[in-house]
This record gives sequence, C-alpha cells and structure tokens, in this order.
Amino acid sequence: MTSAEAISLALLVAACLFFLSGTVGLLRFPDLPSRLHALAKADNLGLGLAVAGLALASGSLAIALKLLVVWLLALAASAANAYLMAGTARPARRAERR
Amino acid sequence: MSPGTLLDLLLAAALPVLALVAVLARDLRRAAVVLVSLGLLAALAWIRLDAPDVALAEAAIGAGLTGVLFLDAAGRIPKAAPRRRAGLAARLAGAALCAAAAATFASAVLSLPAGAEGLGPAVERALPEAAATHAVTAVLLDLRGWDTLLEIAVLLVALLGVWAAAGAGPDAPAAPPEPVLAWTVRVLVPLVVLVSGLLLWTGARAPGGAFQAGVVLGGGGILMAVAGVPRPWARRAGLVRAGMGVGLALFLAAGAAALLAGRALLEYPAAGAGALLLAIEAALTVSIAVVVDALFDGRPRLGAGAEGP
Repeated sequence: MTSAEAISLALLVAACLFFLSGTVGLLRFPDLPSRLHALAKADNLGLGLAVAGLALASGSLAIALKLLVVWLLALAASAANAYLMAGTARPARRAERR
Repeated sequence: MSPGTLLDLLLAAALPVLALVAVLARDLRRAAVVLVSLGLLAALAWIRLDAPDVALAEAAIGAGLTGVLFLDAAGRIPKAAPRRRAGLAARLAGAALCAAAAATFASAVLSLPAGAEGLGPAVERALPEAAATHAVTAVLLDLRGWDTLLEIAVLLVALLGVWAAAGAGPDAPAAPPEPVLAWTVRVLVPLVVLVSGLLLWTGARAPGGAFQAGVVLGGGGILMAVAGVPRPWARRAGLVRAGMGVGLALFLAAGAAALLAGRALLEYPAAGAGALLLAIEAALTVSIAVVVDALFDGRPRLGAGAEGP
C-alpha cells in the first residue's frame, strides 16, 4: 500500500466514524437542535473527510475538483437546512412552554 | 460476498420497507418525506442497474419534484380538518387493485424468456443511423420520438388539469422571505441553470437530456418561489403559456415537416438531424421547466403588469 492509499483509507475510516456518530446522535439525542447538531457533523466533517479521501484515491485533479464542488454544495445546503428546521421548531416550542 | 452485492441486497431490502412505511404512515407529511427517501434509494438502485439516465430522472422527478408537490399539498390540508377514512369495502377494493397490478407486473417480468437479448442489441444496430450517439436519447427522440411527443402532451394536459382544479396561486408568499433561505437560493439558482444546460448539452452523447434538464431548471423556479425570491416571469401569463407550448409545438412542427417532405412522421432529415434534435430538446427543456414550475406555483395571476392572452 502506498502512502497516498494509506492516507486515503484513514480519511475514509474517519469519515465513517463521523457518519456513525451523526446517525447515533440523530437517533439518540432528545430534541431537534441537538439532533441537527449531530447531523451537521456528519454532513460537514464526515462528507468533507470522505471527499478528501476519495479525491486522493482518484488521483485526478478534475475528479478532485468535482468532489470539492459536491462538498461545498452539501455544506451550503446542510447549513441552510439546519437553520430553517431549527427556525420552524422555535415557535412551536414557545407555544409548548406557555 | 462482494461489497456491490451487499449494497444491492441492502437496497432491495430497504425499498419495499420504505414503500410500506410510506403507505402505512398516518401523517401525510411523514409519508411524503418517506417517499423522498424512497426516490433517492430508487435512484441509487437504478445506478446499480447501470441505468444512469433513469437514475437522474428518478432523483430529479421521483425524489425532488414529486416530494415538493406532495409536501406542498400536505401542507395545504388544514390539520384540524377531519380525516375521513375510506370505508372497508373501498380500502379492500384499492388493495385488490394494487395486488392485481403487482401480480401483472410480476408475471410480465417472470414470463421474459431467460437469456433473451432484449431490445439493447436492436438499439445498438439502429444507433449509427440515429440522430444522437447516446442510446437512450436516440430512443427517446429519434427511434421512438412518437412516445416522447405524447409524453410532453400528457404533461401539458396534466398542468391544465391542475390549473383548472387548483386555480390561481396566492398573490404573495404568506411569510416574509427568510434571509438565509433567500441567500442560499440566490447562490444555487445560477448553478441550477448551469447544470440544466450541461444535462441538455451532453444528452446527445451521455446520460442526460431534456427531461432531466427541464425538471432541474423547473426545480430552480420552485426554489425561488419557496424562498420568496422575485420571479420575473410569474406574472406574465403570455410568457408562461408560450413556454409551456413551445416544446410540443416544435416537436409537432418537426413531425409535420417530415410528413410534408414525404418522409415518415418524425423521421428527421439526414442532414442537420443533430442540430434539429438539439433544438427540439432545448424547446422541450423549456416547456418541461415551465410546466414543473407552474405545477407548483399555480396559474399565473392576471393583475398589474400582467399581459393577458
């Protein structure tokens, strides 16, 4: 195994760990904000590490750049999604407290 | 067991489970969200079946467009409204109908002769004479252009039905635009247009084509409508109607011109067939995008600044 392959493998394993912890957090955390927090880790770091590992394994600059664009799009979408979902949940929680 | 087989088994197990969850869900919104997940997994399954064109269409239409339409429809039903459950007889009849349809499909698949070559080789043989080098596009627009012509007509009729049933959409979004959403949409929409153009352009040689490009473009319009980003075309009924019709009109004109020139319907001229195909695909993309956008947005309002028919 070359060193590039070893680094790529380590990045992919780390990505899987983030996805695993994000999924466990989604299932086990009690309320929406902490679940969103867990999901954002999988989306941002998990996907980022997976993209880095795959880009290294592809050995092609064009594919690496395409993967980077995929990650950036997912980052923007995931951040906006988390914000919107948290926003829709807030009025409901206020109503619950009353 | 290879990793690919493992993935296939997971997909094959997850798809019917998700379908069942969607059918049994009491909450309509939950059912819609499960259907979106089902669409995404189905797109993956199509990729595993080596059908990237169908996967693109499934992701854009099955997961994206129908998900938005279902969620929108579920949101319009007031929560306080009494849920009428169909009677037992009606539910049994529905179940029997679904079971009969499933049995028909199953028997059709099972009755395929083992080891038959299917239509693939026939398409490969016809491909050198077709106007596109990508087999799927060649079938859709050249070899079986007739089917696509009728499909775009069906889309048009479906939109007219929705407009007749639902009437005009609301004049303005109910809530003030959410700044984060509006910013994200403003960043995404230029990329959406770019991807749509890429899908259209590469469709002649690679997976892609008018349907995927049109749905992606129309999805951009839906995003703008949801985010409350101004959509300059939304009030111009004449423009919307022209966009709706241009695909079918050009397709019909190409077919009629072929008849007048003494060729078969939709038999393209030998010279310039590629360019004609691209023009038809571009017009189809516009029409599909407008139909998709208008399915969500409703009939264009006639008001200040509107140009009536």
